[in-house]
Amino acid sequence: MSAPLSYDEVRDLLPAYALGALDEHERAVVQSYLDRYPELRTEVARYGGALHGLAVGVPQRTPPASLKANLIAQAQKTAQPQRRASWWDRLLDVFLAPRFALGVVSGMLVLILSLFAIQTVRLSAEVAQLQKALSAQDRLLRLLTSSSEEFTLSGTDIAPQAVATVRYNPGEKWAAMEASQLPALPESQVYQMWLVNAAGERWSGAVFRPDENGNAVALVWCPQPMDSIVRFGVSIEPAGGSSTPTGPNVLRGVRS
Amino acid sequence: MDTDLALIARIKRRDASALAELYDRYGARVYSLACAILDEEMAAQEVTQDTFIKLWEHPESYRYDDSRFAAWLLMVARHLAIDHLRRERVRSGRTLSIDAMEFPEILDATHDVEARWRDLRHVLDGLPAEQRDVIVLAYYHGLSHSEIADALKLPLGTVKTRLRLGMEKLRQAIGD
Repeated sequence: MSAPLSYDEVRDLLPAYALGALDEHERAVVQSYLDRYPELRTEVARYGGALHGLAVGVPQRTPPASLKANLIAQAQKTAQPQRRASWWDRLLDVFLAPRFALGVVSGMLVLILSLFAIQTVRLSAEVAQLQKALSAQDRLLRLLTSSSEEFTLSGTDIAPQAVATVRYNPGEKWAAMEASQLPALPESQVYQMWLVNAAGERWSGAVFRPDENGNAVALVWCPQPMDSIVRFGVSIEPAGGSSTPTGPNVLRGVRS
Repeated sequence: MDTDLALIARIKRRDASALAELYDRYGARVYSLACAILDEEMAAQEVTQDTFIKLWEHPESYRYDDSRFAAWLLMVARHLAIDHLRRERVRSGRTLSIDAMEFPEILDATHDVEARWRDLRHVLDGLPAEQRDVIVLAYYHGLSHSEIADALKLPLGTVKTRLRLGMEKLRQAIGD
């Protein structure tokens, strides 16, 4: 580690600094002094004349004519606007290259066709879903307005005010259920309707949630005709429904 | 005739004819200095071309008034030439030896260059040989004072003193 240099020692180094003859460490030290002491900068500048004298005080030589021609040719190669190409310009250069452009166009066509095919499949699925929903709505509406039979469910101790009506036509496996005054449920729970025939077989007929007023309408399906069902029940189940009743009964009805 | 600054302004607008005009003014001086440092014509041509191309690519790097352009351009040329010299030394593995060094011929008194620099030549010639040698080694060969000490087998302090005294005399001779 070198000893720190004093102001006078640095001043003595200025001629060598002007000549570019200092070692790296000394040059750094001198530069730090020049930053702090303007008079040292002035002193360095005063060697400028001597340096220029050394530069021009050499035998004059005539460069070959080809040197100028080469220089101008090289400059003209880059005689575009001086602005340094931005990342965007460079990107455009790549994009505008013919081979790249052809590749991009082909790629985009494939992408567009693929997206179109995916969209078509997705739309077909959506149409099928809508048709299914419309069909269910239509069936529900028909059952609600033109069923000949109905069965009433009453609220249990959990929800004594709740009431539901199951409407159906004899021999049909579909029914419409209307319920009211159902307690609200958290997002993690649903209501599920159960149907039991005379033989004690049980099926899930519907999974539903009431609106903010406690009302619900659901399409109910059973593998057997509705008029064979002897007991209806509605229980609270985890979201998505259960394979068998696991929660408390909210509505119950028994055909006499 | 355009001033140097006006030509630089045209270079900023990518006018290659302005570069040609500046080359006509200073090309020979740049080339002469490069020859003095490199002592090799092809390398000197390369350095001369690189000097002007640097100006062409970065004209904004000249931030002074009109009177200093020649000194600035020659300083750029000297840096490029010294860089070239150092790369060659590394590539060739040459060690610093005073015997292997060519001392450039300092301006001939009969040559028609600015009288002021002719005076400088006389001052340089009139310096004690030990002061002249260290200045020549530093300026034309790009050696640091510790490299000069190694080459001349002198104490570093002696080299520093000779450089300082010699440069001071040159400065006084120029009248600064």
